[in-house]
Amino acid sequence: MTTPRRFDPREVDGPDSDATAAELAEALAAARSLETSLAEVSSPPSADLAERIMASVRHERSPRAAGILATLRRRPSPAGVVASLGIGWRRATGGGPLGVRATALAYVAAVVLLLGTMSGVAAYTAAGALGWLPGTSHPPDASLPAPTPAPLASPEPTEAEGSEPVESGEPADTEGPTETPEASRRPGATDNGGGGGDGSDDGQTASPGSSSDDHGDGGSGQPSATPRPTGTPKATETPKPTSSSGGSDG
Amino acid sequence: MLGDAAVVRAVIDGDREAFRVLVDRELGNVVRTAERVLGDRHEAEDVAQEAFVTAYRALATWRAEGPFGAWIARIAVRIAIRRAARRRVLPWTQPGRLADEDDRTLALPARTGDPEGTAVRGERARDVRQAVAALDEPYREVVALRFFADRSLDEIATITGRPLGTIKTHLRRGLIRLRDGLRELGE
Repeated sequence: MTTPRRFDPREVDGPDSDATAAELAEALAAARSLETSLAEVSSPPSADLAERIMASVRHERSPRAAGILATLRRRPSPAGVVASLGIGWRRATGGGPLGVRATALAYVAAVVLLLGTMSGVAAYTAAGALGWLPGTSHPPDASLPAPTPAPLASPEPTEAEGSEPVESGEPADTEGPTETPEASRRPGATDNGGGGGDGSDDGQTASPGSSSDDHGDGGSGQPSATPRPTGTPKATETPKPTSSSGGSDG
Repeated sequence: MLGDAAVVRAVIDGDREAFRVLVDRELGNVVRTAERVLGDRHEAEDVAQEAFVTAYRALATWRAEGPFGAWIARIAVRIAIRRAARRRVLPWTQPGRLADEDDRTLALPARTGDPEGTAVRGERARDVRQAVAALDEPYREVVALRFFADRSLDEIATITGRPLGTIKTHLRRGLIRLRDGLRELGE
Protein backbone atom coordinates (compact mmCIF):
# COMPACT_ATOMS: atom_id res chain seq x y z
CA MET A 1 0.00 0.00 0.00
CA THR A 2 1.42 3.33 -1.01
CA THR A 3 0.43 6.61 0.48
CA PRO A 4 0.84 9.59 -1.83
CA ARG A 5 3.31 12.17 -0.73
CA ARG A 6 1.69 15.03 1.04
CA PHE A 7 1.85 18.27 -0.86
CA ASP A 8 4.27 20.80 0.51
CA PRO A 9 3.55 24.46 -0.30
CA ARG A 10 7.24 24.98 -0.81
CA GLU A 11 6.93 22.88 -3.95
CA VAL A 12 5.32 25.80 -5.74
CA ASP A 13 7.15 28.53 -3.91
CA GLY A 14 10.74 29.58 -3.98
CA PRO A 15 13.09 32.52 -4.20
CA ASP A 16 12.26 33.07 -7.85
CA SER A 17 8.55 32.63 -7.35
CA ASP A 18 6.30 35.60 -7.92
CA ALA A 19 3.35 33.92 -6.27
CA THR A 20 1.33 35.94 -3.85
CA ALA A 21 0.17 34.62 -0.52
CA ALA A 22 -3.37 34.36 -1.85
CA GLU A 23 -2.20 32.29 -4.81
CA LEU A 24 -0.25 29.98 -2.56
CA ALA A 25 -3.28 29.55 -0.34
CA GLU A 26 -5.40 28.73 -3.36
CA ALA A 27 -2.86 26.23 -4.61
CA LEU A 28 -2.60 24.63 -1.20
CA ALA A 29 -6.37 24.32 -0.89
CA ALA A 30 -6.61 22.71 -4.31
CA ALA A 31 -3.82 20.31 -3.45
CA ARG A 32 -5.57 19.29 -0.26
CA SER A 33 -8.79 18.69 -2.14
CA LEU A 34 -6.89 16.63 -4.65
CA GLU A 35 -5.16 14.59 -1.99
CA THR A 36 -8.32 13.86 -0.06
CA SER A 37 -10.08 12.71 -3.17
CA LEU A 38 -7.33 10.34 -4.21
CA ALA A 39 -8.39 6.80 -3.60
CA GLU A 40 -5.65 4.76 -2.11
CA VAL A 41 -5.21 1.66 -4.22
CA SER A 42 -4.42 -1.10 -1.85
CA SER A 43 -5.02 -4.16 -3.90
CA PRO A 44 -2.28 -5.22 -6.26
CA PRO A 45 -2.84 -5.54 -9.98
CA SER A 46 -4.32 -8.69 -11.40
CA ALA A 47 -2.00 -11.65 -11.19
CA ASP A 48 -2.02 -12.30 -14.91
CA LEU A 49 -1.62 -8.67 -15.94
CA ALA A 50 2.14 -8.89 -16.22
CA GLU A 51 1.86 -12.02 -18.30
CA ARG A 52 -0.71 -10.40 -20.55
CA ILE A 53 1.59 -7.47 -21.06
CA MET A 54 4.48 -9.75 -21.96
CA ALA A 55 2.26 -11.66 -24.36
CA SER A 56 1.45 -8.40 -26.09
CA VAL A 57 5.09 -7.46 -26.15
CA ARG A 58 6.03 -10.73 -27.81
CA HIS A 59 3.78 -9.83 -30.70
CA GLU A 60 5.64 -6.60 -31.18
CA ARG A 61 8.72 -6.17 -33.27
CA SER A 62 11.88 -6.05 -31.30
CA PRO A 63 12.74 -2.46 -30.42
CA ARG A 64 15.84 -1.40 -32.22
CA ALA A 65 18.09 1.42 -31.45
CA ALA A 66 17.15 4.37 -33.49
CA GLY A 67 19.82 4.28 -36.16
CA ILE A 68 21.12 7.49 -37.60
CA LEU A 69 20.78 6.49 -41.23
CA ALA A 70 17.60 4.52 -40.53
CA THR A 71 16.03 7.68 -39.21
CA LEU A 72 17.14 9.53 -42.31
CA ARG A 73 15.71 6.80 -44.53
CA ARG A 74 12.39 6.86 -42.74
CA ARG A 75 12.13 10.64 -42.96
CA PRO A 76 13.95 11.90 -46.03
CA SER A 77 13.33 15.51 -45.18
CA PRO A 78 14.99 18.34 -43.28
CA ALA A 79 13.21 17.08 -40.17
CA GLY A 80 14.80 13.69 -40.73
CA VAL A 81 18.20 15.29 -41.03
CA VAL A 82 17.65 17.16 -37.80
CA ALA A 83 16.42 13.99 -36.08
CA SER A 84 19.39 11.99 -37.29
CA LEU A 85 21.70 14.77 -36.15
CA GLY A 86 20.09 14.65 -32.72
CA ILE A 87 20.51 10.89 -32.50
CA GLY A 88 24.07 11.15 -33.70
CA TRP A 89 24.92 13.84 -31.20
CA ARG A 90 23.36 11.94 -28.31
CA ARG A 91 25.20 8.83 -29.35
CA ALA A 92 28.46 10.73 -29.73
CA THR A 93 28.18 12.37 -26.36
CA GLY A 94 26.64 9.40 -24.59
CA GLY A 95 28.35 6.61 -22.81
CA GLY A 96 28.73 4.03 -25.53
CA PRO A 97 31.61 2.14 -27.10
CA LEU A 98 34.32 4.30 -28.54
CA GLY A 99 33.74 3.06 -32.07
CA VAL A 100 30.05 3.91 -31.95
CA ARG A 101 30.73 7.33 -30.51
CA ALA A 102 33.44 8.06 -33.07
CA THR A 103 31.19 7.01 -35.92
CA ALA A 104 28.35 9.14 -34.64
CA LEU A 105 30.66 12.10 -34.14
CA ALA A 106 32.01 11.71 -37.66
CA TYR A 107 28.49 11.66 -39.03
CA VAL A 108 27.56 14.79 -37.12
CA ALA A 109 30.73 16.54 -38.23
CA ALA A 110 30.18 15.55 -41.86
CA VAL A 111 26.60 16.72 -41.91
CA VAL A 112 27.43 19.97 -40.18
CA LEU A 113 30.29 20.57 -42.61
CA LEU A 114 28.06 19.81 -45.57
CA LEU A 115 25.30 22.06 -44.32
CA GLY A 116 27.80 24.80 -43.57
CA THR A 117 29.29 24.57 -47.03
CA MET A 118 25.90 24.65 -48.68
CA SER A 119 24.87 27.60 -46.61
CA GLY A 120 28.09 29.41 -47.46
CA VAL A 121 27.69 28.80 -51.18
CA ALA A 122 24.10 29.90 -51.05
CA ALA A 123 24.99 33.03 -49.14
CA TYR A 124 27.87 33.83 -51.55
CA THR A 125 25.62 33.34 -54.54
CA ALA A 126 22.93 35.50 -53.07
CA ALA A 127 25.42 38.19 -52.17
CA GLY A 128 26.83 38.11 -55.69
CA ALA A 129 23.40 38.39 -57.21
CA LEU A 130 22.63 41.35 -55.00
CA GLY A 131 25.92 43.01 -55.81
CA TRP A 132 27.19 42.99 -52.28
CA LEU A 133 30.51 41.49 -53.24
CA PRO A 134 33.24 44.06 -53.97
CA GLY A 135 34.65 42.24 -57.00
CA THR A 136 31.35 41.93 -58.75
CA SER A 137 30.30 45.55 -58.54
CA HIS A 138 30.75 46.45 -62.26
CA PRO A 139 28.90 43.65 -64.01
CA PRO A 140 25.81 44.17 -61.91
CA ASP A 141 26.00 47.88 -62.73
CA ALA A 142 25.96 47.10 -66.39
CA SER A 143 23.24 44.53 -66.09
CA LEU A 144 20.97 46.23 -63.67
CA PRO A 145 18.95 49.07 -65.09
CA ALA A 146 18.49 50.94 -61.87
CA PRO A 147 22.06 52.14 -61.29
CA THR A 148 22.71 52.77 -64.99
CA PRO A 149 20.72 55.97 -65.50
CA ALA A 150 22.67 57.80 -62.84
CA PRO A 151 26.07 57.59 -64.54
CA LEU A 152 24.61 57.97 -68.03
CA ALA A 153 22.61 60.97 -67.07
CA SER A 154 25.67 63.16 -66.88
CA PRO A 155 27.07 62.37 -70.36
CA GLU A 156 23.73 62.89 -72.02
CA PRO A 157 23.39 66.50 -71.02
CA THR A 158 26.93 67.17 -72.23
CA GLU A 159 26.07 65.70 -75.60
CA ALA A 160 22.91 67.68 -75.66
CA GLU A 161 24.86 70.79 -74.87
CA GLY A 162 27.27 69.97 -77.65
CA SER A 163 24.42 69.71 -80.10
CA GLU A 164 22.85 72.91 -78.93
CA PRO A 165 25.57 75.03 -80.47
CA VAL A 166 24.99 73.17 -83.68
CA GLU A 167 21.36 73.98 -83.50
CA SER A 168 22.14 77.52 -82.61
CA GLY A 169 24.29 77.66 -85.72
CA GLU A 170 21.23 77.08 -87.85
CA PRO A 171 19.75 80.40 -86.98
CA ALA A 172 23.17 81.82 -87.73
CA ASP A 173 22.76 80.61 -91.31
CA THR A 174 19.59 82.55 -91.64
CA GLU A 175 19.61 86.06 -92.90
CA GLY A 176 19.14 87.55 -89.50
CA PRO A 177 22.81 87.54 -88.57
CA THR A 178 23.83 88.83 -91.97
CA GLU A 179 21.62 91.83 -91.56
CA THR A 180 23.10 92.39 -88.20
CA PRO A 181 26.63 93.06 -89.56
CA GLU A 182 25.17 95.52 -92.02
CA ALA A 183 23.56 97.36 -89.26
CA SER A 184 26.81 97.22 -87.42
CA ARG A 185 28.62 98.77 -90.31
CA ARG A 186 26.65 101.90 -89.92
CA PRO A 187 27.65 102.41 -86.38
CA GLY A 188 31.18 101.39 -87.44
CA ALA A 189 31.26 104.13 -90.02
CA THR A 190 29.68 106.44 -87.59
CA ASP A 191 32.45 105.75 -85.13
CA ASN A 192 35.12 106.31 -87.70
CA GLY A 193 33.63 109.56 -88.82
CA GLY A 194 32.85 110.55 -85.31
CA GLY A 195 36.51 110.12 -84.43
CA GLY A 196 37.34 112.80 -86.93
CA GLY A 197 34.89 115.09 -85.41
CA ASP A 198 33.67 116.35 -88.81
CA GLY A 199 30.21 117.57 -89.50
CA SER A 200 29.59 114.85 -92.08
CA ASP A 201 29.82 112.23 -89.44
CA ASP A 202 27.40 114.06 -87.36
CA GLY A 203 25.05 114.11 -90.25
CA GLN A 204 25.13 110.31 -90.59
CA THR A 205 24.53 109.80 -87.00
CA ALA A 206 21.81 112.25 -87.03
CA SER A 207 19.82 110.37 -89.63
CA PRO A 208 18.93 107.42 -87.42
CA GLY A 209 18.86 109.34 -84.24
CA SER A 210 16.98 112.30 -85.63
CA SER A 211 17.57 114.31 -82.57
CA SER A 212 18.21 118.00 -82.49
CA ASP A 213 21.24 117.53 -80.33
CA ASP A 214 22.90 115.27 -82.92
CA HIS A 215 22.26 117.80 -85.60
CA GLY A 216 23.99 120.36 -83.64
CA ASP A 217 27.08 118.13 -83.36
CA GLY A 218 27.30 117.13 -87.11
CA GLY A 219 28.71 118.98 -90.15
CA SER A 220 26.70 121.30 -92.29
CA GLY A 221 25.96 119.84 -95.84
CA GLN A 222 27.83 116.53 -96.02
CA PRO A 223 25.18 114.18 -94.66
CA SER A 224 23.32 114.30 -97.94
CA ALA A 225 26.18 112.40 -99.66
CA THR A 226 25.22 109.17 -97.91
CA PRO A 227 22.43 107.41 -99.77
CA ARG A 228 20.36 106.00 -97.01
CA PRO A 229 19.85 108.95 -94.88
CA THR A 230 18.69 110.68 -97.92
CA GLY A 231 16.30 107.78 -98.65
CA THR A 232 14.65 108.03 -95.30
CA PRO A 233 12.20 110.83 -94.90
CA LYS A 234 13.87 112.05 -91.80
CA ALA A 235 17.21 112.17 -93.51
CA THR A 236 15.80 114.51 -96.05
CA GLU A 237 14.51 116.67 -93.29
CA THR A 238 17.82 116.69 -91.58
CA PRO A 239 19.62 118.83 -94.14
CA LYS A 240 17.36 121.66 -93.27
CA PRO A 241 18.41 121.78 -89.71
CA THR A 242 21.92 120.91 -90.82
CA SER A 243 22.25 124.04 -92.83
CA SER A 244 21.10 126.08 -89.92
CA SER A 245 23.25 124.23 -87.49
CA GLY A 246 26.25 124.27 -89.78
CA GLY A 247 26.06 127.96 -89.80
CA SER A 248 26.10 127.98 -86.11
CA ASP A 249 29.14 125.68 -86.06
CA GLY A 250 31.02 127.44 -88.78
CA MET B 1 19.81 -5.42 -9.26
CA LEU B 2 20.14 -4.12 -12.76
CA GLY B 3 19.50 -0.47 -13.35
CA ASP B 4 16.85 0.76 -15.73
CA ALA B 5 19.38 1.70 -18.37
CA ALA B 6 21.04 -1.71 -18.33
CA VAL B 7 17.72 -3.49 -18.67
CA VAL B 8 16.62 -1.28 -21.51
CA ARG B 9 19.92 -1.82 -23.28
CA ALA B 10 19.48 -5.56 -22.93
CA VAL B 11 16.01 -5.39 -24.45
CA ILE B 12 17.24 -3.29 -27.33
CA ASP B 13 20.08 -5.72 -27.89
CA GLY B 14 17.55 -8.49 -28.40
CA ASP B 15 16.69 -9.84 -24.97
CA ARG B 16 12.96 -9.39 -25.21
CA GLU B 17 12.25 -11.17 -21.93
CA ALA B 18 14.34 -8.63 -20.06
CA PHE B 19 11.40 -6.32 -20.45
CA ARG B 20 9.66 -8.44 -17.84
CA VAL B 21 11.95 -6.91 -15.25
CA LEU B 22 10.63 -3.47 -16.02
CA VAL B 23 7.05 -4.70 -16.02
CA ASP B 24 7.38 -6.30 -12.63
CA ARG B 25 9.13 -3.25 -11.29
CA GLU B 26 6.69 -0.61 -12.44
CA LEU B 27 3.38 -2.35 -12.98
CA GLY B 28 1.92 -1.47 -9.57
CA ASN B 29 2.72 2.24 -9.95
CA VAL B 30 1.37 2.36 -13.46
CA VAL B 31 -1.91 0.71 -12.55
CA ARG B 32 -2.31 2.93 -9.51
CA THR B 33 -1.65 6.05 -11.54
CA ALA B 34 -4.16 5.08 -14.19
CA GLU B 35 -6.73 4.17 -11.58
CA ARG B 36 -6.38 7.58 -9.94
CA VAL B 37 -6.99 9.25 -13.24
CA LEU B 38 -9.84 7.04 -14.37
CA GLY B 39 -11.31 5.79 -11.15
CA ASP B 40 -11.76 2.30 -12.53
CA ARG B 41 -9.52 -0.67 -11.84
CA HIS B 42 -10.25 -2.68 -14.96
CA GLU B 43 -9.82 0.29 -17.22
CA ALA B 44 -6.66 1.18 -15.38
CA GLU B 45 -5.21 -2.26 -16.13
CA ASP B 46 -6.05 -1.82 -19.79
CA VAL B 47 -4.28 1.51 -19.72
CA ALA B 48 -1.28 -0.09 -18.02
CA GLN B 49 -1.05 -2.75 -20.69
CA GLU B 50 -1.25 -0.18 -23.45
CA ALA B 51 1.32 1.97 -21.72
CA PHE B 52 3.84 -0.87 -21.45
CA VAL B 53 3.38 -1.87 -25.07
CA THR B 54 3.80 1.74 -26.12
CA ALA B 55 6.92 2.03 -24.03
CA TYR B 56 8.30 -1.17 -25.51
CA ARG B 57 7.87 0.16 -29.04
CA ALA B 58 9.53 3.43 -28.17
CA LEU B 59 12.16 1.99 -25.91
CA ALA B 60 15.01 3.18 -28.11
CA THR B 61 13.92 6.76 -27.64
CA TRP B 62 14.21 6.63 -23.87
CA ARG B 63 17.20 8.79 -23.06
CA ALA B 64 17.83 7.45 -19.58
CA GLU B 65 17.88 10.98 -18.21
CA GLY B 66 15.37 10.03 -15.54
CA PRO B 67 13.94 6.90 -14.01
CA PHE B 68 12.14 4.54 -16.34
CA GLY B 69 9.18 4.63 -13.94
CA ALA B 70 8.69 8.35 -14.46
CA TRP B 71 8.85 7.90 -18.21
CA ILE B 72 6.24 5.17 -18.35
CA ALA B 73 4.11 7.02 -15.81
CA ARG B 74 3.96 9.91 -18.19
CA ILE B 75 2.88 7.57 -20.96
CA ALA B 76 0.21 6.07 -18.73
CA VAL B 77 -1.08 9.47 -17.63
CA ARG B 78 -1.44 10.56 -21.22
CA ILE B 79 -3.29 7.42 -22.21
CA ALA B 80 -5.53 7.58 -19.16
CA ILE B 81 -6.38 11.24 -19.67
CA ARG B 82 -7.14 10.55 -23.31
CA ARG B 83 -9.49 7.79 -22.29
CA ALA B 84 -11.11 9.97 -19.66
CA ALA B 85 -11.65 12.68 -22.23
CA ARG B 86 -13.20 10.19 -24.64
CA ARG B 87 -15.78 8.92 -22.28
CA ARG B 88 -16.46 12.44 -20.96
CA VAL B 89 -18.50 11.31 -17.99
CA LEU B 90 -16.19 9.67 -15.53
CA PRO B 91 -17.81 6.78 -13.71
CA TRP B 92 -18.59 6.75 -10.11
CA THR B 93 -16.17 4.49 -8.30
CA GLN B 94 -15.83 3.56 -4.73
CA PRO B 95 -12.73 5.27 -3.45
CA GLY B 96 -10.54 3.67 -0.91
CA ARG B 97 -9.04 5.12 2.18
CA LEU B 98 -8.44 8.82 2.25
CA ALA B 99 -4.91 9.88 1.66
CA ASP B 100 -5.15 12.78 4.02
CA GLU B 101 -6.46 11.49 7.28
CA ASP B 102 -6.10 14.92 8.85
CA ASP B 103 -8.73 16.43 6.68
CA ARG B 104 -11.60 15.72 8.99
CA THR B 105 -14.10 17.60 6.94
CA LEU B 106 -13.80 15.01 4.25
CA ALA B 107 -12.73 12.05 6.28
CA LEU B 108 -15.89 10.17 5.78
CA PRO B 109 -15.57 6.49 6.48
CA ALA B 110 -15.18 4.56 3.26
CA ARG B 111 -15.36 1.00 4.39
CA THR B 112 -17.54 1.20 7.41
CA GLY B 113 -20.69 0.38 5.64
CA ASP B 114 -21.76 4.00 5.38
CA PRO B 115 -23.33 4.13 1.95
CA GLU B 116 -24.09 7.85 2.17
CA GLY B 117 -20.54 8.79 3.05
CA THR B 118 -19.20 6.52 0.38
CA ALA B 119 -21.45 8.13 -2.18
CA VAL B 120 -20.37 11.62 -1.19
CA ARG B 121 -16.72 10.71 -1.34
CA GLY B 122 -17.14 9.01 -4.66
CA GLU B 123 -18.89 11.99 -6.11
CA ARG B 124 -16.22 14.29 -4.83
CA ALA B 125 -13.47 12.13 -6.28
CA ARG B 126 -15.23 12.13 -9.61
CA ASP B 127 -15.50 15.92 -9.56
CA VAL B 128 -11.81 16.27 -8.83
CA ARG B 129 -10.88 13.92 -11.67
CA GLN B 130 -13.12 15.83 -14.00
CA ALA B 131 -11.59 19.10 -12.93
CA VAL B 132 -8.09 17.75 -13.52
CA ALA B 133 -9.08 16.34 -16.90
CA ALA B 134 -10.53 19.74 -17.82
CA LEU B 135 -7.26 21.55 -17.19
CA ASP B 136 -5.32 22.82 -20.15
CA GLU B 137 -1.89 21.55 -20.98
CA PRO B 138 0.73 21.75 -19.64
CA TYR B 139 -0.98 22.23 -16.28
CA ARG B 140 -2.95 19.01 -16.55
CA GLU B 141 0.09 16.88 -17.18
CA VAL B 142 2.09 18.43 -14.35
CA VAL B 143 -0.77 18.13 -11.85
CA ALA B 144 -1.49 14.55 -12.91
CA LEU B 145 2.15 13.51 -12.73
CA ARG B 146 2.56 15.13 -9.32
CA PHE B 147 -0.62 13.86 -7.66
CA PHE B 148 -1.78 10.83 -9.67
CA ALA B 149 1.63 9.41 -10.54
CA ASP B 150 3.18 10.72 -7.33
CA ARG B 151 6.29 11.93 -9.09
CA SER B 152 8.64 14.55 -7.72
CA LEU B 153 8.98 17.88 -9.45
CA ASP B 154 12.57 17.05 -10.31
CA GLU B 155 11.46 13.91 -12.11
CA ILE B 156 8.70 15.79 -13.90
CA ALA B 157 11.19 18.42 -15.01
CA THR B 158 13.50 15.71 -16.29
CA ILE B 159 10.99 13.70 -18.27
CA THR B 160 9.26 16.74 -19.70
CA GLY B 161 12.51 18.51 -20.51
CA ARG B 162 11.40 21.73 -18.82
CA PRO B 163 13.20 23.73 -16.15
CA LEU B 164 12.26 23.05 -12.55
CA GLY B 165 11.07 26.63 -12.08
CA THR B 166 8.73 26.24 -15.01
CA ILE B 167 7.33 23.03 -13.54
CA LYS B 168 6.72 24.79 -10.24
CA THR B 169 4.92 27.59 -11.99
CA HIS B 170 2.83 25.17 -14.00
CA LEU B 171 1.92 23.24 -10.87
CA ARG B 172 0.94 26.37 -8.98
CA ARG B 173 -1.15 27.73 -11.80
CA GLY B 174 -2.63 24.33 -12.45
CA LEU B 175 -3.71 24.00 -8.84
CA ILE B 176 -5.24 27.48 -8.85
CA ARG B 177 -7.17 26.64 -11.99
CA LEU B 178 -8.17 23.36 -10.46
CA ARG B 179 -9.55 25.26 -7.50
CA ASP B 180 -11.59 27.41 -9.85
CA GLY B 181 -12.81 24.32 -11.67
CA LEU B 182 -13.85 22.69 -8.45
CA ARG B 183 -15.79 25.80 -7.48
CA GLU B 184 -17.65 25.62 -10.76
CA LEU B 185 -18.48 22.02 -10.00
CA GLY B 186 -19.96 23.08 -6.70
CA GLU B 187 -17.15 22.12 -4.40
